Amino acid sequence: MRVISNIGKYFLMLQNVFGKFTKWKVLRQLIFKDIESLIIGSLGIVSFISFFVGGVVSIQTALNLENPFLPKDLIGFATRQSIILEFAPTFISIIMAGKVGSYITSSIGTMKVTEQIDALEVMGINTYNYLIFPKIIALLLYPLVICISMFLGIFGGYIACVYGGFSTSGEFIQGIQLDFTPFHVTYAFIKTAFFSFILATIPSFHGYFMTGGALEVGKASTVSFVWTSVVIILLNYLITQLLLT
Amino acid sequence: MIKVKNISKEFDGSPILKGISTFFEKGKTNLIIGQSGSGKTVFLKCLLGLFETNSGQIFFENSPINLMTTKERTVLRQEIGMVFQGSALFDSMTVEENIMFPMQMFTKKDDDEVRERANQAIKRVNLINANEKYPDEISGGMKKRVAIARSIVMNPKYLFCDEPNSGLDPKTAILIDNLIQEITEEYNITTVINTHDMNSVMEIGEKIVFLLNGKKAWEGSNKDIFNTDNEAVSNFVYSSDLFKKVRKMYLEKK
Ligand SMILES: Nc1ncnc2c1ncn2[C@@H]1O[C@H](COP(=O)(O)OP(=O)(O)O)[C@@H](O)[C@H]1O
Ligand SMILES: [Mg+2]
Repeated sequence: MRVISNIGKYFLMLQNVFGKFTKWKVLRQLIFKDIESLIIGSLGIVSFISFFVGGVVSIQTALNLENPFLPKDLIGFATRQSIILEFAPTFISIIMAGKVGSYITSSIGTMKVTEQIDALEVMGINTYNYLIFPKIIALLLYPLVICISMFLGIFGGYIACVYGGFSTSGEFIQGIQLDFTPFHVTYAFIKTAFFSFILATIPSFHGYFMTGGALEVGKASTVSFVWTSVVIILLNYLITQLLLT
Repeated sequence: MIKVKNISKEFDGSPILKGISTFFEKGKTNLIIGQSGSGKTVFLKCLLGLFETNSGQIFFENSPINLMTTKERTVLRQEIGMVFQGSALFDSMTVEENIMFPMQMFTKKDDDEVRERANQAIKRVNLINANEKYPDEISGGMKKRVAIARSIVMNPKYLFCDEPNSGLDPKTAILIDNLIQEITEEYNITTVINTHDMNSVMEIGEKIVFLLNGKKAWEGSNKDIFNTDNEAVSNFVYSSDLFKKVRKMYLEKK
């Protein structure tokens, strides 16, 4: 029951986000600020994780390919497939639900409990648009983050594979190019586009509608992470079912 | 002039405000007093339109806010200044930016004009050497001053303050009270202040509305409050021995 009324509230919130617009001059500054904290601020951790997980994926694949009759270029192939199809778009989005999501929830939530949102409201500002719209726009750059993650993931796989002595550089690169289906990349970026919207809006919802004090801000961030991940995972299933089968 | 007619407000079925009627005059400091939890903040937020009342009407001059269109409300809100209990300064902005913010949002003034007007307000509230500081770098009293400056920078017709001197030492509290009163007279604003501070009641209580469990239990001025035989209000106001003695002396002198 609560969930259903919250879903209704979520969609009303979205409607308000695109209601009365904030002055462009102010909005532009907010967008740049959010790009800095949400996108630029995430590049470090995303790069780090992608590179090393890419490495692990290729080592694991190599270890499972002990049969000498299997061609060595399968390592590059399998690494590419798992990174482009799942690891970069989905796994990284779950990590972002933790990083960016809890940042959004706690920053909006803090503004809520310290009455900063009321203060904006009293001035006659559409606080939904002021607070949430810049985040949606900033996260339009999120596919770029996933792009970097894909690249570094495969690069990490390459380094681990070649320097671990599992295959030659030529074999790995041949594997990356093997059977390449451009639609898989399209599919990955369609997912990413949906996830970026979810990453901006669900954490905002949990921050905006929270009540209480500093302790509740922490709780709201946790709840927000859980819901953002759940929605991402469900959406991932749905989109995969629709696009790949 | 603000008129309140028989307003009620409930949350999830439990009544918080129960049929309050009163009025607040221009150029006067109007006080809402009452214990913690008696509904002062809810009352103020109803006046502001942050909460919808369940019944009753609120008039600004002669227009009822519940019949206003969204556009009319937006216009009205720009005539209202609000000082929140915790100051509610935007913590991502400096003091000067906080005060410039409403003008940047709602006027076509260029940056120099905005800065100049902001600095007039800063001067008016006696804020010194704080322009470039962030809210978490200044004291509680200074935060209130910034909040007051931000609320008067658009020349409001109405000023609302929620416990403007909570968390301040007595001396700073009186300075803030006096500042609010001076501004009220100077700009001829209709000011409504929530407080449970007895010093404020005595110093600036030109009109006082006493709330008890969401009901208006008494109203009058700080002069009337010495003479009242309303037990609820005198119990509340004279809950400290000091004030009991002051009252006795005052009544004897008369
Ligand atoms: N948003 C809200 N939802 C539910 N109950 C609320 C809300 N705001 C205030 N209340 C309740 O209303 C009552 C009066 O609160 P308040 O106006 O803050 O008191 P005061 O400001 O006089 O200390 C309290 O019991 C409080 O729990
Ligand atoms: Mg209060």
